[in-house]
Amino acid sequence: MRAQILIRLKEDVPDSAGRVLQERVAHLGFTDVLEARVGKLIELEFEGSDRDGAMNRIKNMCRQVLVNARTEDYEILSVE
Amino acid sequence: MFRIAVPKLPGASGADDLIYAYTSVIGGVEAYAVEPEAERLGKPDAVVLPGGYSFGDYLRPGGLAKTCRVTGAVKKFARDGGPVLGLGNGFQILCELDLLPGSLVINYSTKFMNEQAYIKVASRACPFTKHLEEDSILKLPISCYYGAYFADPRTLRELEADDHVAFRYCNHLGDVDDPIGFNGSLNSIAGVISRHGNVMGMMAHPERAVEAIRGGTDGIAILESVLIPDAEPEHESGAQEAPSQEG
Repeated sequence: MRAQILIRLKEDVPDSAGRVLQERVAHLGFTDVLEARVGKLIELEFEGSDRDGAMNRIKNMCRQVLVNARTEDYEILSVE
Repeated sequence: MFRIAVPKLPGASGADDLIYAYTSVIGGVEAYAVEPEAERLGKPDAVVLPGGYSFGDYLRPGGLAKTCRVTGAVKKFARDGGPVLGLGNGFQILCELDLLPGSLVINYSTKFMNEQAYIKVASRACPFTKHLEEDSILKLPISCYYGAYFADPRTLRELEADDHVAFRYCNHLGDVDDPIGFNGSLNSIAGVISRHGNVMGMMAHPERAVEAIRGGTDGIAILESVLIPDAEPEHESGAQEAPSQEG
């Protein structure tokens, strides 16, 4: 099984990398880009085929290490 | 002799500087490194988490360091009331361990900042600031990419109300009035103190400012503060004091 986890900064956390990215794409002429946010995509390859069990383990990993709940939100995009 | 444990987490390159500052410059202290997978800290009187290159910045600074076994011992020491200081990456790790409020995010400039910073003493409510002079200005090196302090509005209000902002970035005159601040830190916060007052973190590096030949000695007062015993409480006036011999 392969899982994909999307991690983003919470809305109220300043995203300096996103700000600079938006400025630079505007510099290239893409002036219709009003905002950019930068996150992370983590892919995990799992043994076994127990999807519910894998979901629980992923949530546990997110709580313990993959995500900082003070500044980040996460979304499990797929487990298949 | 006062004992200071210096957990040497992966990537931390500042442990040797810190041990040198305590043992060779300040003196009269035993400062020793503790390996990342150690289960015990070796009965220290204080713990100082050094800075240096962060381990696992690609996830979050300090995010992977907390998977090391020694951080369990640091948490226990802190929760038992022991004095703990985190410098640079050490500060980021203490936030990740929930021993300090808030987090450190990318500098407003998105640049790695490697320069001298001016910080102003904002609170003396902690073992590492109790002997500093309130509002005094210290010049210390800073060296970080994730250096901007962030906390949610409620946490910020509590930090301010509880007098738990240890330092603020300022200019060389002590003015704290730039809206972006030194690096985008909210309220220009350069260091914070835990709810119970025994844990402190700061992004600047006092251990790199202990000799004039290296650019300054303002770091000594912070490192030394924890070593100085608290003064005996003064007797209340008129309470069983020996009459003065001098009249």
